[in-house]
Amino acid sequence: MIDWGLVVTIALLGGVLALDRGPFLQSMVSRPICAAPIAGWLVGDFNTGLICGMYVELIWLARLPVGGSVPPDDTAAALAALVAAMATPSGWAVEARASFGVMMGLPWGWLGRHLEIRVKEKNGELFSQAKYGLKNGNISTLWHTQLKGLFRCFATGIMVAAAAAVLNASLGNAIVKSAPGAMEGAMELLSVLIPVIGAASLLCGYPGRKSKLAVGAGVFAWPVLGFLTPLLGCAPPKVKGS
Amino acid sequence: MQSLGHAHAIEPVLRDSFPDDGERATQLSRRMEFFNTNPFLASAVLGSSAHYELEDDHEAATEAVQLLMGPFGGIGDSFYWGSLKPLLILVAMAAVLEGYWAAPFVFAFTFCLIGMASRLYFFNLGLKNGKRVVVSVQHAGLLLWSKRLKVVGAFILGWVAFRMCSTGVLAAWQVPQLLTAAVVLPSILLLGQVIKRELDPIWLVEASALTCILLAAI
Repeated sequence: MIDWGLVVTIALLGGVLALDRGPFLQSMVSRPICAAPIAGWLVGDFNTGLICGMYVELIWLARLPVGGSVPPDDTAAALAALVAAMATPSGWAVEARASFGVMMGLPWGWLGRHLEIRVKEKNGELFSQAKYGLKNGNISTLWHTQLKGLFRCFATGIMVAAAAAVLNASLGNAIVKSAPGAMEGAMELLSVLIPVIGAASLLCGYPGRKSKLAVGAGVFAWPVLGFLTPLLGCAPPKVKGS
Repeated sequence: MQSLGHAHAIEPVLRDSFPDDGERATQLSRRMEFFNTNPFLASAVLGSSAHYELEDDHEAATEAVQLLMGPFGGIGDSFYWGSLKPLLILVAMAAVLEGYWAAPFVFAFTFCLIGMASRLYFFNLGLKNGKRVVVSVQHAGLLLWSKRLKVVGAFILGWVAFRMCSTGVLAAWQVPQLLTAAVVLPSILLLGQVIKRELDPIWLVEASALTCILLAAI
């Protein structure tokens, strides 16, 4: 059974965040690390949203909107991941739920990217329209063409998010029900692999020997701290809330 | 869309020189050319262009835009998108892992604040110096800072990757932390080499998911 309230919420949020991704504001609220927890809060599961957002963020953080290149639509992927995660039983560990969401949500990032490219191509035509209008002395063309461009982005964001919400909710439910026990174990294992894949992907954006050494230092910092602090007579580092 | 945005932003500057709407529109259509640069340093280009428009040197204004948008695009993308944004996001992730759930929103707010301050600062620089804004941006040392921030970002990336891996199932299995780190680091470096060969990480995630499901089913 599809929760239409959830679909409408995710669709509207998708539209607004599609504007924030590029054409309007760029306030970073559309980044997966913010978008997924906001969506999670709206549909009643902030924690799963937070972990989903972190996983999706890490995987595509190295893909930058530089020059003419269009990175995958990680906002759509984050929203789709949250919807799929919500389809899993609430008794699962939050990392396993988020991993299932990421597995189901990432393809939407690619679909969103292709649609974004189409919209950008279509919006390219607005340039000639505006130029023609201005040549004829109509200054308001500038404003109207920009609004048209913004509306296209908003509408595409709504469409992608709505489709992701409907499909991921129903498909996610069906997949989980097919083998709930095995799926939970598999997703717990996947939750260890996703950060490694994400870190490897981001490391490509940090070339050079210094960066590799710094990553190594970062990986070993926590366990070395945990090993040294009891020797120095301090309490070992602990996670808040653990 | 950036070309439209640029024309829209420069329109108020032309109001003094061309008070008539029709004439101003014609002038704007002459300035409508391909415009693509970094959104944060776009303000420096705009300021520089406005500097010449206010001096009624309209040819120099167009020339400034053509001259500055390329280099500023490169510098801005490298600093803001390539270094600052990933660094702040990684700091937010590290904070979330230590229990500070509001960290992502603090990141968004901080990035917005830095973005707004940069836009204001570089617009004023451009407005004051015209094309010489290039020298001021060079003095700001954004490329050097970009390199430094990337190294700091790499350290936090390692920290975040380890903390994400060591919680959850590995913590439940009581795997020693040093052993986890000894497996995580080579895995990151190895997979980094694989991804460098134009492989999108999405394929690695989906293939890993499939393998995990098969393993769990057996």
